[in-house]
Amino acid sequence: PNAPEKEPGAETVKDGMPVDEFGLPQMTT
Amino acid sequence: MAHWFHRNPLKATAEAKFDLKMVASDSQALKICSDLRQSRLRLLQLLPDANHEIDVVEPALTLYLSLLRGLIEVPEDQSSGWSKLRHSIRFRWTQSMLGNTPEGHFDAVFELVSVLQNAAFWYMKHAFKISAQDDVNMDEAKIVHRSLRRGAGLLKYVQEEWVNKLLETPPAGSDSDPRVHTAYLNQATAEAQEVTIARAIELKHNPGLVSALANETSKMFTTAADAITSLEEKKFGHWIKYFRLKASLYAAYAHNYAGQNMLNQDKCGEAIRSLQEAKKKYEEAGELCKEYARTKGPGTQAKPETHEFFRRLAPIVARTLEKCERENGMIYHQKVPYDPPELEMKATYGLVSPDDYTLPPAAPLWTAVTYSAFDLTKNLSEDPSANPKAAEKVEGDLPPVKEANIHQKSKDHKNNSGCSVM
Repeated sequence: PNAPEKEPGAETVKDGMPVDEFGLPQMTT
Repeated sequence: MAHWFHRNPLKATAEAKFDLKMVASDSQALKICSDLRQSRLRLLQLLPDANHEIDVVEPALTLYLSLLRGLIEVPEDQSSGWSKLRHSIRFRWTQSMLGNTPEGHFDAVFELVSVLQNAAFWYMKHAFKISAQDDVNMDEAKIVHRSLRRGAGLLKYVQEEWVNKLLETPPAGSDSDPRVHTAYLNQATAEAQEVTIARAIELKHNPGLVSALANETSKMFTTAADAITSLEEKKFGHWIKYFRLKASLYAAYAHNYAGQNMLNQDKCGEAIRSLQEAKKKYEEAGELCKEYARTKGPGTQAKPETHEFFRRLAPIVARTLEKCERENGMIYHQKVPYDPPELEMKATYGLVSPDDYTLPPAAPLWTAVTYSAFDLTKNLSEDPSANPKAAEKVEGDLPPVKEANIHQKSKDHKNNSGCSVM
């Protein structure tokens, strides 16, 4: 099987919203 | 997060010599026996110390499992049949909550299940170790989060893929008992979410988000407690109390942030009721901390009530409630409902999923040739099922695993959440 491209749980987008490594929305600074 | 997490004892095991008989002496087959013995020993030396790095423990686990696979499945066999050596060696393991009397089975699958469970417990202890140190930076917070997800992933994998292949139904209260598994799985997942909640507070995320995540986490701790309430109180009571106090604390957090969210939406009456509920749940958590401290049982003694993340909530609730009551009297004049407002049922962000896990491939030493070198007739256990109780009586109990100390800081953290994993 192919190796996953990213670590599970480390999604960068959820429901179209960029999220951090903890799955929280990225804060705009 | 010194003294924040409760941890149960590791499983103890007896030495396995892997003294397998062969048709004729084969150097590769001999090496497999030697490597199995050494890699198992190496892993068992590492697991009692949560201070080791993941990069040290994970390869040791992978190496042993890759060798163990040849005792479970036929190497290079597309049909995935059981190895002729599966029942050749007797393995003895204790259960994390059942004391020093081991279970013994001539079954490499029992060994696999036990090793993976113990590795999962190590990941949970490693997360505890990192979170308890003096200064925890962002990369280390990620390690805590990842370790808990990995621990959950190992437990989920072993329960779903291997426990149903054991020779006997797991005894009540054992680590493979579905009730105990549910408790551990929810514990690891909920604790990873605790890290996320602290981060969300620290970064001043929307109170609605924090409330929903805290509510989900509270429910996970409740699920963990409910799963094991039917088990022996004397052994499981201490652990159950830990789950109950965490469930109450996160219910308090959920109502507090729901109250703040409602105030932001000018729903002052509902905000007051939600904050009153937060106060009630917080007081309940304080009582449960005392009950937890009084209840004897296996595992460490967490002291959450002494932690800043616990203590910080009371003045926040009191201050926000006072503000809401003042503003409702002067500005809003809204009715305070009798029942607390419903909390948002499903969090959208920050929910934790256990890591996917799968066994490593069999070690390259396991070939069709080396496999055939082992003599099936000589390696069948003499009597794997007859009178195992008598055998256990002769072999006796196993001493508990002597686990390395974990340094715990006592200072508070000077940040918004009071949590070190930020």
